Amino acid sequence: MRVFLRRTAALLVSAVIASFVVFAFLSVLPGDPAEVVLGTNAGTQELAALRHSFGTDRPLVVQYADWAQGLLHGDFGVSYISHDAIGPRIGDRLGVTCWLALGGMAVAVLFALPAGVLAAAWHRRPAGAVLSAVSQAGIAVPAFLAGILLVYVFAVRAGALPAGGYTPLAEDPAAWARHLVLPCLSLGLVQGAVLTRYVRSAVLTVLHQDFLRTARARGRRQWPALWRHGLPNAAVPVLTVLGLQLSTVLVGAVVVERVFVIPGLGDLLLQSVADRDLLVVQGVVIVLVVAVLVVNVVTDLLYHLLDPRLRSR
Amino acid sequence: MEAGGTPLVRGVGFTVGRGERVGIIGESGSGKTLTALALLGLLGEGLRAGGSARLAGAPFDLLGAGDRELSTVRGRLAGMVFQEPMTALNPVMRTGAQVAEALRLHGPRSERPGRDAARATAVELLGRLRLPDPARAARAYPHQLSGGQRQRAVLAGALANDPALLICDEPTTALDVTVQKEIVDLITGVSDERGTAVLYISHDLALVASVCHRVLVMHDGRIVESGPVEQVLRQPEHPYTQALLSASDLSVPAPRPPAPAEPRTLLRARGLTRRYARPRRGLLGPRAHFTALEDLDLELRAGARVGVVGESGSGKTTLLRLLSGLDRPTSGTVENAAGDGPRDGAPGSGLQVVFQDPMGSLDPRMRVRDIVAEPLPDRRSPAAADRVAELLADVGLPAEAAGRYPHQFSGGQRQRIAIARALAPRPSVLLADEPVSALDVSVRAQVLDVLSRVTAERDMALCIVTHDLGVVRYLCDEVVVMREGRVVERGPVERVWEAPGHPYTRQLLDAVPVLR
Repeated sequence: MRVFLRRTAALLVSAVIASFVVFAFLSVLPGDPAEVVLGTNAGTQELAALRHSFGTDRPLVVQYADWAQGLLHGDFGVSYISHDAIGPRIGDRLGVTCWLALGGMAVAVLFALPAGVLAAAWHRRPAGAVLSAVSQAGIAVPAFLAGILLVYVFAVRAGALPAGGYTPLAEDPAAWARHLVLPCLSLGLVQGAVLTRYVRSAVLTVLHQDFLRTARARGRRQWPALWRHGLPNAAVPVLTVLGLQLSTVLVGAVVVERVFVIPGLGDLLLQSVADRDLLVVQGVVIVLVVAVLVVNVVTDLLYHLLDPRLRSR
Repeated sequence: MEAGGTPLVRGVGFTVGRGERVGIIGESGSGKTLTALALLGLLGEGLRAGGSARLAGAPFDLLGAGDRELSTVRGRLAGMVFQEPMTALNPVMRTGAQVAEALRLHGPRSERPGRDAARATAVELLGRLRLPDPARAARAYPHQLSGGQRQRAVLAGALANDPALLICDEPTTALDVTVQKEIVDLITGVSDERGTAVLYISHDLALVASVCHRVLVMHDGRIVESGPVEQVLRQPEHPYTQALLSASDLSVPAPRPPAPAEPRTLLRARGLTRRYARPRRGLLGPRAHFTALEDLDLELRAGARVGVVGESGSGKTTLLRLLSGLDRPTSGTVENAAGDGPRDGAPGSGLQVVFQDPMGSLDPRMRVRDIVAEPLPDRRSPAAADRVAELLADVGLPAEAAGRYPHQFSGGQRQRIAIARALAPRPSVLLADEPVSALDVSVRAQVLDVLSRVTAERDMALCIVTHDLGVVRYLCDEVVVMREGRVVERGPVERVWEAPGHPYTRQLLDAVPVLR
């Protein structure tokens, strides 16, 4: 409980610092939103009027306070370009990206756990070497290439799944699932290959630990001993990598979103950078930062659940 | 038994009767642990055992059986206790659950106890092994228990189903002497009471003599001698047994150098105290302190040999760290008349340390010549090379050792390298932290002799920190007995041995197994 409070407090402090950094960074970048909207041959008076309506003529500190205060209420402001409220837009997109990232990581875990455990348990046999080699090769494949290959095989040749696009869950759950299969696979298999390496080395370490031998001396058979005693211990290092990967996938889903034309957060980010819609960029970045921070805190708390040695400190 | 075609253990044959305790002695690499592991099918991958081993109650040959068959033997007919209690338990599982596991794995499914019943029995078992507050120990995770408590928990798991055979692989090597005595008493007690046969593996002859009825001496994968303990240890026939016996006998002290006429004081510690801050309880709670060492005075004169003894947590290593300047005292002073070290330049100045683990304290990627020359001011010079050769000869290593790496040496040789390195800058004070604890008995005496000789030749002050009273008696003139950060007794070695003044000293002396 104390750990939970301490970690949450640290998260809040980090989020405040992050919001400040994000704001400051985007404010010093060249590119006045008013100029962007009005084009290069706008008159000075028009510009001043627009700046006034955007509020960008106020001192930066005031602008920051205004923005940050809005964030606390979930108000991300109004886009300079489309004049929509930014909050709901980010919300929609975040949902899509979360599904994609979680689905991708689920694929990764489902692939990496059995593959990694078997690769470790069979490390002296040919089958183990093959598993290692496959995961090694998988690491070298970029996610977008995996995506294109999957689309070619399953969408173009077999015609079994859609090649791109997205349907919200609420609208049609079956179509939603069908649209997510290929993107999640292309994200997940590559991350899964990376994760396999870590699962393998964690299990290998555990395989040679004394307590596994003690468990067998009590009468546990080989595989049950690994399952009951080995895996809970191997989980601790694997969790570290899993947390890092989830953050990477949240931020890095953009590539896969592009390949599969999925309206995710990364897609929104790229689009608003292209449009110089700075307020949207600012909003998306701060959301991603907070998401990564939350993932880290959750990972940390899971550590404490998994390893009693951390709890007593 | 062989690994990839290389035979490791050959023609080993023995029997253990009901209620009988048989010891296997030998040094590391002699094959004693492999023999025990092979019996229960716990050999690592790549190791194969041939031959035959039968256990009463098991209707098959243990050596030919598969994992399924053997799992019905392990933990039910035969239990095993291992060397390293710190790592022998699953760190993320409660201790009681691990003991209970042994109860829930055997017998017909319908008769196996439920989770709660097994836990209750586990608490009972822990209590029978004299764990203080067994219910609490059962709920604890292994890291919350001491080494001795953990070994009791492992033992409880091994004895849970009242096995016919208990295999103990150096079960007390990692423990303090007083704890060792308690564990050994438990094992012999169970064996006497239940008629449990015990196969007891150890490198400690005196210990095996006090535990076992019969003994097997292993060397290079063979049994070279066997028989009743009395006979083998009184009238050893095989030259290897004779050598092992004389090497492990530290009762005749090493030759002492004549004391210098007017020994100058090299190191003087006054009122040494070291406290460590514990983490605060709560944000505003008071800062708690742990006192590792309290108000200690110590003086090291040229030619002196001081032994500091105590169990883990007694503050002896803290003392050594303070004396050597690796740590600063919370209060008190260390006056180092010897000088800070090689930077002073003057010969016969400075202080050097030899550490416990010669594997961990030597950089595995440096050649021996670079390791030994490292403390020298101009280590690339031809003079340094000469000095290295001289030092290696001093500690009894061949000259060609200089070009090799630490992993190419045995434990005893590595400790000699560590001593050579410590001697390189011609220190006047040598501190040694458990210098022979990680070594086999057979090389222990040799390393101690090297320490004794080199310090005598150079009129150095030697201070050894150890939990092994035999080492102190063998090497030292003066002994300081420590407990919980304080000195409980100090004085000339002979006097303390003959007439210990403090009950704790007596308890320590009594716990040491002696060859009679």
